[in-house]
Amino acid sequence: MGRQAGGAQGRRGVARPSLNRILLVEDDPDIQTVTSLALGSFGGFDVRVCGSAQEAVASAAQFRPDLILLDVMMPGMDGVDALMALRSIPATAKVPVVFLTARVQPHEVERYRELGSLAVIPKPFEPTALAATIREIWESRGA
Amino acid sequence: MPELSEEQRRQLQQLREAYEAELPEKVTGIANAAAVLRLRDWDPAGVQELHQLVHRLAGSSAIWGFTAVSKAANELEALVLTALEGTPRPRRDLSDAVRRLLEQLQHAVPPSPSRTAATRASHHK
Repeated sequence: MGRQAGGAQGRRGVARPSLNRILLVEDDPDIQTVTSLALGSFGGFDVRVCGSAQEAVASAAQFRPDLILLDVMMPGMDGVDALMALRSIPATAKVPVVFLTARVQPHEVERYRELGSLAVIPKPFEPTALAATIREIWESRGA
Repeated sequence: MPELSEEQRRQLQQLREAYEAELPEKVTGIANAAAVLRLRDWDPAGVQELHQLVHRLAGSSAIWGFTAVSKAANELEALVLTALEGTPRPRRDLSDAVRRLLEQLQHAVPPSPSRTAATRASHHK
């Protein structure tokens, strides 16, 4: 399953913002734990974990993420609705979103792309490779 | 695959072992949710809860490399989704299919180290 890249065009000579803070929106505690380990301990990122879209919206302004990693199948507000909600608040209106999901049928990936996601990382993912994958996605912005 | 330090490998292994130790409890939780659902004639809230439990198990077990568990959970999730989406199917058929898939799931869970040790000890008595 390939990733779908897109996003804003970078200009030659203009420094891109660095990737430090990642907001993870994921309802499963087991996946929260392994993703935090993969990105925080292994990847060196500052990771804030939110168990729901509502929690993510509530903490986004204070955390000010550089990137949002979003599960799709969550109870209550799903990932797509969560993306809309995060787009509606100033703190995250323009923050790149990467979907982390097992729902990766071609029509689903196409929908995520149409919604403006930067990329899609399919589950299951390899914990030891996740941070590198995220960095690669980040670096490919506007490439 | 990026190189991990010894400490990072140890952390990862500890997490995997902790997850493995919890697998029987997770499957029991799913079996209990399915049993309650049968009693409640597959009410939508119960189906939603069962789906959530099975979906989580399917995803997390795949990440930790428990492929047989993940495969069984994926099949069960697909079945529960049909109920969630309102696909017409006799309740009894659905319950029987869930029971069969739950048995597959229970067989897919590897014996925990403590249970294996206990079995070994009882054989030596």
